[in-house]
Parts: sequence; structure tokens; C-alpha cells
Amino acid sequence: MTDFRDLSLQGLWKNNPALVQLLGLCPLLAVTATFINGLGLGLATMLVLIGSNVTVSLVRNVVRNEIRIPVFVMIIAAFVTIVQLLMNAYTYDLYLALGIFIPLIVTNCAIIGRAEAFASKNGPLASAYDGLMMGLGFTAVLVILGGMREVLGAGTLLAGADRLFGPIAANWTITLFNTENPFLLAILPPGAFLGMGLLIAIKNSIDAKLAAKQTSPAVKAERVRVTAES
Amino acid sequence: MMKESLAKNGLMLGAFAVVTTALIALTFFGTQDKIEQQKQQKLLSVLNEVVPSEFHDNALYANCTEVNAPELGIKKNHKIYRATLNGQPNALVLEATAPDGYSGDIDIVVGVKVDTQVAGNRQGNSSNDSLDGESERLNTTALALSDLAELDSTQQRISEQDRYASNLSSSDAKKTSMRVLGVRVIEHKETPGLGDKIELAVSDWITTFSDKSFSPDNLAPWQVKKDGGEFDQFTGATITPRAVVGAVREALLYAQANQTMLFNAPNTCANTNSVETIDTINVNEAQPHSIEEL
Repeated sequence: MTDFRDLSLQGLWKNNPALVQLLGLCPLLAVTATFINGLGLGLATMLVLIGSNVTVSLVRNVVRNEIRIPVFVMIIAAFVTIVQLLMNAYTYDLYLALGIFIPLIVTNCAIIGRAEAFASKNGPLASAYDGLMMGLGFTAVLVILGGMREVLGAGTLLAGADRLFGPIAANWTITLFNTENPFLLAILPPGAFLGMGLLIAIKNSIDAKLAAKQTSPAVKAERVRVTAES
Repeated sequence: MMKESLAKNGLMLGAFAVVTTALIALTFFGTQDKIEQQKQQKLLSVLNEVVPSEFHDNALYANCTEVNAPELGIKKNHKIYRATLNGQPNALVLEATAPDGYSGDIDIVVGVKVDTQVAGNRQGNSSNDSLDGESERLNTTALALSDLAELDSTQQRISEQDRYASNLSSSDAKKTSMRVLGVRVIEHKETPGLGDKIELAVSDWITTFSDKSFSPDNLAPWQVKKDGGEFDQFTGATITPRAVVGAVREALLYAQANQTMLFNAPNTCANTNSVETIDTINVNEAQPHSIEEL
């Protein structure tokens, strides 16, 4: 019924929530100042995405069509709140590091987008897998963007890894070069927009090349949007 | 037909609301104690960082007073924790807010060794005081607070030195120097990679405050180097360290001018505990806690 290979491809590349659907840009642009922050938010988002997808998929036949959106919102909000409480209780340091961005996961359109576009039409297993792949795709973009900005801005990589992985990661920071003057543009939000644009451009040009190689150059890379599906 | 569907939808929405709220409530009650414990632990470790255990033998977190002073930031009340050694006042931990950070408020705590000569004039540890003395002390505190409130209105217009002088007249502080034990940033929203170097996790800049002596007669060093002081600013971010240094300086001025009042104020960190239980906490828990933190 559902092709898992296709799901992976959709989540990671063809229909990447960050690069193609352009969803969840607010946390994406705000937290990607470093590699580790990006990874932390990506993982939290992925967990919520899997959880909400499975729950939505389980109740999809119970919920009447007219009220599905408010119900999805309630499920997602409840899920995020529970995750936040659990992180607050059991991974306090990570909770402090991610701060405001955990509650902000609620506002990440990628999550309700997947609930509406996929989980409400598919079984729990496929929905969980879709959540995992979409989450991975989102995390990958966060990590690449965060790494890019960290290297350009501060000349380091993996700074602050101990916040996510505990004290063993205290020495993981790789210093590529020492700079007295950090490259401000890369660290501040405009740098995130520029980096994001660059990543989208790279992805589109790869798509275009692939398409040109595969068949006649007439076939263009298709931009799939969630909004078009519903 | 219409009514029926409305009722069904309404019921279903209601049911989902009840279920999700119940789940959240369950998680909340299940994690409540653990979260409180985590916060307490964090507070305890920060308190013990800014006032090392050799400077106190009481349970710091259970002995505090709440003040609303312009020097510490006027937006909210700040807690002042009192550290005593052998029953004698020894150090203060002041919560303070720097209102002029690059992106909003910066909450800090400042641990400072008080001058025992001055503070020694007080009548004894507040947590050991009987309830009879409570009302009397409340009165003196109220007086001191009204003094402060009077000052509040004029303070914005007068300069730092003048303010110190006027504070002096309203309290019994002497012109002695104090020693900073440590400063930590509790909460901030500064730019990651630039302003967040005030965090100990990111950079050890904040430790440059440790062991600095402070004298109100010589405020010039208590600025960033750009302004002629002795604290480094960060390349690309001067506003953040300037705000932190300023907040520490103000907090120290406040502590210097009000230390007797602060030590005599009633304990407000007892929370649900009565006065008697505080005593037991002080006696029974003080040792294990300070040992744990070592």
C-alpha cells in the first residue's frame, strides 16, 4: 500500500519540509546559529512529529471531517506540552538550552501539515515512518544550516555539544580557525535567510541537473506543496 | 439535522479537550515534584557557585528576603539570600536584572562577602528570631522600605555618586570595600555566538568578577574597557557585557548601602514552612547540602 522507500525520498529530499514545503521557518531560522542548537531542535521536532502523526492516524476514523483541524491542533499542543514537561523534569539542561523553542514547536506548520496531508489518510505505521522521515529531513536542514553559520560566524563546529550529550561531549568542539572578529552576518538572522536561500538554490540546481540527465531537459523539478494536496 | 451535527461536533471537540487536558494534567502532576526538584537543584548549585560552601553553614535557599529596589531592576521583586557562618552574617547573594541587554533583560545573581564589622551590629539571625520580635522587625523593615520608596522617585534624576551618598544617609553602611565571590547569569536572550559569552557554559568571562574588591569610592574600574573600566568587552558585542557589568555594580552599591536592613528583614523563603521548620532545616540540612555540593 504505502511505499516506504518513496516515503523516505519524500521526507528527506523531494518534499523536504524545510527546503521544499518551506514550513516551520520561524524556529528554523531562529535557532540555527550553531550546529548543536539545530540538532537539538530537530530531534525535539522529530519526536513530536512522530507522536502527533501516530495519534492523528489512530483517531482519523473517529474524528468528523468538519472538526479535524481543531482536534489535530489539540493533539499536537497536548503532545508538545507533555514533551516539554518531560524534558523539564528529566533532561533539565537540554530544556534550558532549547528554551522558548520547545513550546514554539506547536507553531511549526510542518507538524499540522503532515497531520493533515498524510497521517489523516494513512495507517499508524506509515504515519510514524512519515513523521520520522519528515523529521529527519527537517533536522538535516537545521544541522547543515547551523553548521554553516557556526563555521562562517565563529570558526567552530559542535560548540556546546555538552548541552545535548552531557559532560562527555565537553571536548567535542572543533575549532577550524580563530577569529577576533566574528562574521556577524552569519550569526544574525539575516545570515539564516541567506543561508537558507543558498540551500534551496543548491537543492533546486541538483534537481535540475538530475532531471536533465534522466530524460529530456524539458522535465523540470517539481515543487510539491502540502497546501496543494489538501 | 443541522442541530444534530452541531451537537455531535461539539461533543466530540469537548471530549477531545477533556482527554488532552487530562493527559497534560496527569503529566503535570507526575512531573511536578521532579521539576521543582530540578529547579531547586539548579538554584542550589548556582547559589553554591556564587557563595562557596566555606563561606556559609546555613541552608542558603531557605533564608532569603524579597526586595523591590531600583538598583536591582524595577520590573520585579528580587530575592536576596543570606549566608551566615556560625550564626554571623557572612555573605549575600543578590538577584539582579540588567534592563539594558542587547535583547531584553539579563537576570544575574551576585554573591558578595559582606563586611562583618558593619553587619555585626545587627541583633541576630532572623531565622532564629522568635515570633515576638517579628512584628518589631517588620516595622523597621517597613520604615527602611519607605525610605527606599522615597528615594525611588528622585533617584532617576540624580547621578550615581549622589545616589550612593543619599543611600548612605538612609542607612548605616560604612565606606569599606566588599569582595565579590562570584557572578552567574541565570537567564538571558542575548545573541548566540556573540552576547551569550556571558554564560559560563560558553565562555569564562563571567568569572572575571570573582574575587574583585568593590569600593563605592572607586567606581571607575566597574565598567567595560571601552568605557574606561577593567572588564573586557566581547568583539562584536559591547552592549551585553556593559549591561552585565553595570548591573553587578548597581547590585553591589545596593548591597553595600543596605546590608544591615537586608540581614534583618524577615525570611520570605520559608514558603509553606513555618518559622519553626526553617530552624530545623537550617540545623539538619545545612551540613549535608554543603557537603553534597563539594
